[in-house]
Amino acid sequence: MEMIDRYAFAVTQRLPERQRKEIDKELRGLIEDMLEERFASDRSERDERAAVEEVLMELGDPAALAEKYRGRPRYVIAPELTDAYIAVLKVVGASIGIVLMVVFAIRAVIDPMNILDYFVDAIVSVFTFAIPHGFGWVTAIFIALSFVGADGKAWELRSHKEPWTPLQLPEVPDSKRRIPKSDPIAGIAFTVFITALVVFFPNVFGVVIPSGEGGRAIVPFLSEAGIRPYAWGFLAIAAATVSLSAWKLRQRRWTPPLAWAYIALQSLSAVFVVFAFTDPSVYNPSFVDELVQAGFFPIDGEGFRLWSRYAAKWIAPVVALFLLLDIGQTLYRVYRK
Amino acid sequence: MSEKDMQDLVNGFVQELRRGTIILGVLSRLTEAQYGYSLVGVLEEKGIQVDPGTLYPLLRRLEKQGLLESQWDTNEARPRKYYLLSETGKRVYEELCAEWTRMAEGVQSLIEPDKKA
Repeated sequence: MEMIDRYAFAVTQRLPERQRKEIDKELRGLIEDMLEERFASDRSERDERAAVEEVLMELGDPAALAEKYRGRPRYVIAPELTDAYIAVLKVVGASIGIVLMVVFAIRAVIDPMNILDYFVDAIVSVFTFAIPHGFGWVTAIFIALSFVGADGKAWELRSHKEPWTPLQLPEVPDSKRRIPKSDPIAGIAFTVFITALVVFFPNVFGVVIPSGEGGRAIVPFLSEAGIRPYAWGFLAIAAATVSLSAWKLRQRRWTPPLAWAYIALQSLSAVFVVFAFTDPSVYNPSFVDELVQAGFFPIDGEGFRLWSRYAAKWIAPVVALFLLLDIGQTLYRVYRK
Repeated sequence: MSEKDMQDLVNGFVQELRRGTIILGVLSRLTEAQYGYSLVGVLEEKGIQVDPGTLYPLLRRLEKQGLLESQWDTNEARPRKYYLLSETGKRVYEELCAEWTRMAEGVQSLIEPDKKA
């Protein structure tokens, strides 16, 4: 009877591989039992069809039955993370939207002749860049987080070793320990904004020079090819920052594990940024020459070249200073009496 | 609140009340081996309605938890899976029975005066 095959298949294909055979056998037996009880054994073909339909109606939707066999609802993104997921998705989406608009605006102002091309570019970018990268990354991060916190408890990061007592109740956070909602949201927006520009549109950083017949062009400060080897690092740090912000959104207060995770991530980011931006190949090698050519420097660019080499040495100490301030502030928030 | 809404609420509560009693009913009948569909009939005779779509997954779960043992019987016209209480199952059943008796008496004594009024 084909309909029984279909029904058994519809149920079992929704179940884990190793249970399929057994449950298939069980189901078929059950359907036969039900048919036998309800209808005399000498059935004509037409009656049988109606009988099977009636029995299957009684067993109900195969998806619901499979759900009962599984015994727990399945999800890709944990229900307790759904709110955070939607919030982060909105922020990331808005940030990427702004990036696309900024890039479009810069190009349009500099070169109004080709405004239509830039507009089409921006629209195409929504599908080639915004959706796969924005939506894709956020979704991947939250799937990973759901997987980690599959029991829903990893999120609280509570130790399971000791039973709960009222003494473990965290104190109501004072204003210094509390994390305002704006903090992680601004963090995500800023991270996405900068990462998207540096990794995908490095050419918008630069100096505008006149070119050709009254047009203008940007002399890019960074080199697209030079940035490319570092793209994964930038994206990984952005992903980690978004994950940490999601954790902040959920917890809304500074705790030692959160603080140390934050410090570790900030340190890692700082090291990476210094590492990337002290590599001469991330800069446009002909930056100075192009500016000299455009008559941007009254004399030759040698002075500027010296200055920029000097500036590169300052990247590490400056980044380190900000990092130390950030670490100090974070520790003060967590451990102050 | 409409009549239908109220009925939905009542149905929801009844579902909750039945959930545990079905397990108790199932365990009580499995001192002798039964297959799924015969169990539906046996419970129905006693006024416990349970649809197979609920019972079959429940039997598998109880087996997984170690309360039941199962065996396929292939001697009949079609293979059937017979379930029987395990040693653990017997002990769990006894504890549940004691608990149920206490609960039923308690609830009964609570709702009794309401009935008379």
